[in-house]
Amino acid sequence: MLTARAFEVLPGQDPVEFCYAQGWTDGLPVVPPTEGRVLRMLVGTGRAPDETVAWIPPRRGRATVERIAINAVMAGCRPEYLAVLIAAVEALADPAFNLNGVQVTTHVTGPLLIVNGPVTRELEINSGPNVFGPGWRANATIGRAVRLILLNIGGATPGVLDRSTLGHPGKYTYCIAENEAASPWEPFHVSRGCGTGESAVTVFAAEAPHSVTNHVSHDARGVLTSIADSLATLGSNNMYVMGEAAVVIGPEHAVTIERDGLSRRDVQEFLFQRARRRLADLTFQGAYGKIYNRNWPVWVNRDNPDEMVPAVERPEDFLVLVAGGAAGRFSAVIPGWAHWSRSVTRRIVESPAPDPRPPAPAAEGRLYDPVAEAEPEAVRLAAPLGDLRGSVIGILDNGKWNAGKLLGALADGLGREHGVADLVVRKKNTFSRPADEELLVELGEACDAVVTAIGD
Amino acid sequence: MHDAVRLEQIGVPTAVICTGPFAAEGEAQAKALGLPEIRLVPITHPVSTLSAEGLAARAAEALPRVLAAWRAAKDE
Repeated sequence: MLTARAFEVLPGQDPVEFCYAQGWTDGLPVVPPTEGRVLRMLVGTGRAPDETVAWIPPRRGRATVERIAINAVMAGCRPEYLAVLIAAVEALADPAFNLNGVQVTTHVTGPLLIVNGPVTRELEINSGPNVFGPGWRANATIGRAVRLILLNIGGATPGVLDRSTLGHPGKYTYCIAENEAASPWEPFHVSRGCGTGESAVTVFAAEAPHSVTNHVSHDARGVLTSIADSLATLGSNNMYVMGEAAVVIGPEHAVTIERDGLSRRDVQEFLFQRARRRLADLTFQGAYGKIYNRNWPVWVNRDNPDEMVPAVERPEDFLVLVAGGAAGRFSAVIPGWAHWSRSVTRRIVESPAPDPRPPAPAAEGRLYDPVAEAEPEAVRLAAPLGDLRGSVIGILDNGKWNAGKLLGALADGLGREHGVADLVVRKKNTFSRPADEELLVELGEACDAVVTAIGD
Repeated sequence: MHDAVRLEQIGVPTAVICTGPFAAEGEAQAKALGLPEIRLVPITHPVSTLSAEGLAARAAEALPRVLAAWRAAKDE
């Protein structure tokens, strides 16, 4: 039987409205998670319902198989989709992806799922026309189930812990298959180390797709020049904080590139060389000093105004794949979320057969809770600071803009007015992840109190 | 937040300066990490675009709150 908390829907109460009132939705209606539907969904995996698949930040709720299944029901998934969904959740929980950062950032980003291999045919995951748009149940519901999991188990409520300034429509659903048939190269997941017969899902912290129009070029260089220029705009997040970028080549453009015999690596190298912007433009002719330049590769000459700064740190940070319909000379570029998140590919190991039984009866009386609360081990607050005079104070700069200067001004005040004996000043490598344990232990042993900044 | 929670675990009172709009998020994150009484010090937003004078003013705003945060005991 299900272990999730059960809610009784009263006679005359609309189960769809009940789900809305509980805050379980993304704004669109969800399928009420009845026992019959959830049990049916669990047939989609051989894994035990109480198995913990991952802990989802920022709330760090426990994503059990059962809870994933409840959210999958709400999204409208078929049971056969569950194996893909579980693999996606595992990929998202990989530390390299930095899901915590992706969930709470002010940037416009949400996980894009790219599915490869035989499972895309078995489940009819669209890779062709309207690939980023509506029309295919697998795309729509697998992507949506991911979002409901990030909301209900991860606690990323928009405007509260999800601080994205603008958001984007991919945060309703964002799941595609690569058009392997239209690609001149090995499938994307094979280029990431999977076997040709395997299925896999790649997660990538992605902006919305930016269309690239090129109706005029009959050669690869022309098409790739348009793509390169589209990656190296003044507004591009990549230009300031690096990271990966997806390059989704439409099939007509893929034909053109194939005709000139370019490999995927050739495309990455071309874009690495040509998707660049002049340093003086990026710094607004030096108006704001050497802003963000700590994110650029070390070989970029910051003193040369004509230096051409790349959009990514290395050619392989362009994720090159083919998707879309056969008609239309369009491709798309999708900037990622800086060097603070890396895309992750995860094999889909299970391939359950479709359940031949008819759909579950729609008895709506009891609904099962898709939400996971935090289960933290209680941390005891440290003893308060005693005498400030003569103390050693730690200053921990998290690296965000102006944090160091703010803390410097604060430290001056502490020394001048309060007789602090000594300061231990340290700075984190990156503000989007916790500090190294050694650094924290060093501060802990040396200091009577610590001040850190800045959460903004 | 992770850093402050770890430092408190190690035994060092740690004040976390954040800007106003992020206080709720900071509290929620700290609660999820097991420390609802985190010593959060909200100051006026924004900070990233301030000049030196602006930063000095923010530091002056923060200082007494940082001291109060360090001196807070669990029962208060």
